[in-house]
Amino acid sequence: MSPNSLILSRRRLLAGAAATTGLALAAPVVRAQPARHRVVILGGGIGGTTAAKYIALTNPGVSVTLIDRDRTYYTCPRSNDVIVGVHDMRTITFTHDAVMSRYGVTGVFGEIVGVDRDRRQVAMADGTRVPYDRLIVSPGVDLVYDSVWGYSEEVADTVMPHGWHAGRQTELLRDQLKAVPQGGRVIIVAPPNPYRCPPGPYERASMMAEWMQHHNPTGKVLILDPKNAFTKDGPFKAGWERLYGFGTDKAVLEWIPAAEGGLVSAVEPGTMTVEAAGGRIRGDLVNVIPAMRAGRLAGTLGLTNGDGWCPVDQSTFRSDLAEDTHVIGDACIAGAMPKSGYAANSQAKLVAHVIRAELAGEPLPVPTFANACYSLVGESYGVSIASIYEVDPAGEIVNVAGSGGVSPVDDAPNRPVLEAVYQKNWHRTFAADVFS
Amino acid sequence: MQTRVFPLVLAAALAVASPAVWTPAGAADGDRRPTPDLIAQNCATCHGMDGRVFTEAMPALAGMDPEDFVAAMRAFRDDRRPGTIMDRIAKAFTEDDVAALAAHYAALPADPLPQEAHR
Repeated sequence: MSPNSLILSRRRLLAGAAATTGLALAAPVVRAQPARHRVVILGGGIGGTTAAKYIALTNPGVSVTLIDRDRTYYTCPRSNDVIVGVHDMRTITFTHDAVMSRYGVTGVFGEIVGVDRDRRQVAMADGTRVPYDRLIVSPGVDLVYDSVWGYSEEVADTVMPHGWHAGRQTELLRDQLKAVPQGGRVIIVAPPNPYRCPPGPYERASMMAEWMQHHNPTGKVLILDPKNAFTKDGPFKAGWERLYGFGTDKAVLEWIPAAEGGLVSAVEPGTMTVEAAGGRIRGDLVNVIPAMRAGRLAGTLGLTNGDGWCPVDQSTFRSDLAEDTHVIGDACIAGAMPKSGYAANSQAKLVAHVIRAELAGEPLPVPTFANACYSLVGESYGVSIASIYEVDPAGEIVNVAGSGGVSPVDDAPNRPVLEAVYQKNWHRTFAADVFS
Repeated sequence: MQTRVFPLVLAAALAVASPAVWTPAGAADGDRRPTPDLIAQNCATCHGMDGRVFTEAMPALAGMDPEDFVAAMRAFRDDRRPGTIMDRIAKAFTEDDVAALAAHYAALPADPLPQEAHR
């Protein structure tokens, strides 16, 4: 029995008792509040921090605890700008302090070792136990290093960074880009689907190509891709043609899809060589973005399926595999929604409304979700995708028919400029919505 | 006489509260729709919590005249107003959704929220 049904049945019992004995709602029994519902959130990234804030805002009587290893969070959005020096690390650095102080969220910082489901407690490495009635798990993604032979966490931390968890990895890529010799080659190994931030590899390649034009004009950026298509590829390629000579012999940026030998099976860190289906190639900077799966914590807690992702009821984000547990963000399987920070933020808000409805004994909310993403093809050239989602009768999250889509490819000269302006504004309002 | 006046007064009150009480575009009678509160929380990602954040590009929505709100959403929906993504987003909502959102934002205080903590 879930704690909610326990609370509800207790309320019904009280109401029934009052009715049968003919008493008005006067007795101290009725005035006594049920114990505060305790929501514990595992993971203080974009999904988890949004959940903490919006669950507290939407459910004033609920106790909200946020647990993460770190007090500081670096957003992946705009980390590509940091790699090319448009901004420094401060732009993408946030803490949980404002969400804790403004909305009464309790922060617990340390390593989570597991969950005791019988006692409803989260076990911390220091021996602390955090009791819960409901868990929200937002563990992000884990990188599957061995999806590329020869790649490992150690290689990523030294010679071939992934840059897919922002922070130290972002700084490594930034420093290695500066060290590429004149006329050198950057190789970006793009990941297979599904993965965090579908346009990320292509935005990164674009930003690096622009950096090359300014600082290393004979250098090149090469994307090796296990896929034949990617999100926003129409407007991206149009931008590449306009800015980087894409498709000509003077191209600063090249994209090799799977059909042309782009699938990378192995890397050789000692010689900075990449083994692609189309042949071996050496890079001066090799950025390997390997396959992904749900964050390690999801696996530890038994929330993942055979593919490494978390199945959930897409109307409530309740885990299919564990009671009293919701999984949100990149780790969960959310129908048509991409693995993006915006999507995680939107899912967290729905869960806040699910909790309110369940505690009040009201019908579950009708789900609505949003995702919008501006990517930079150059510092002043943006492209976007936007979608609104609903849940179809089969329980699957789908795009609302007739809405959404990517930037049109047309001759409007101001469109890409405006989209780049919106990208910067979006990051500010988005980060404020999550962290303040 | 009274029975005839009352509906007129009610109609007038409704017209003030939500200037666009139309037949929903996509929803059949009896379909439950997402609440304006939940829809608005998704708008917050760009327009700020409660529509109360101002940037160069994205307007605040709190305190907006409901007729202006509805007119803007219809113009985006019908591709009469250029936008970056609002033209694609506006097409996802029924006219009732938009009317409810207009009333939601009109009732919110128009002063900006502090944003100092996000850097």
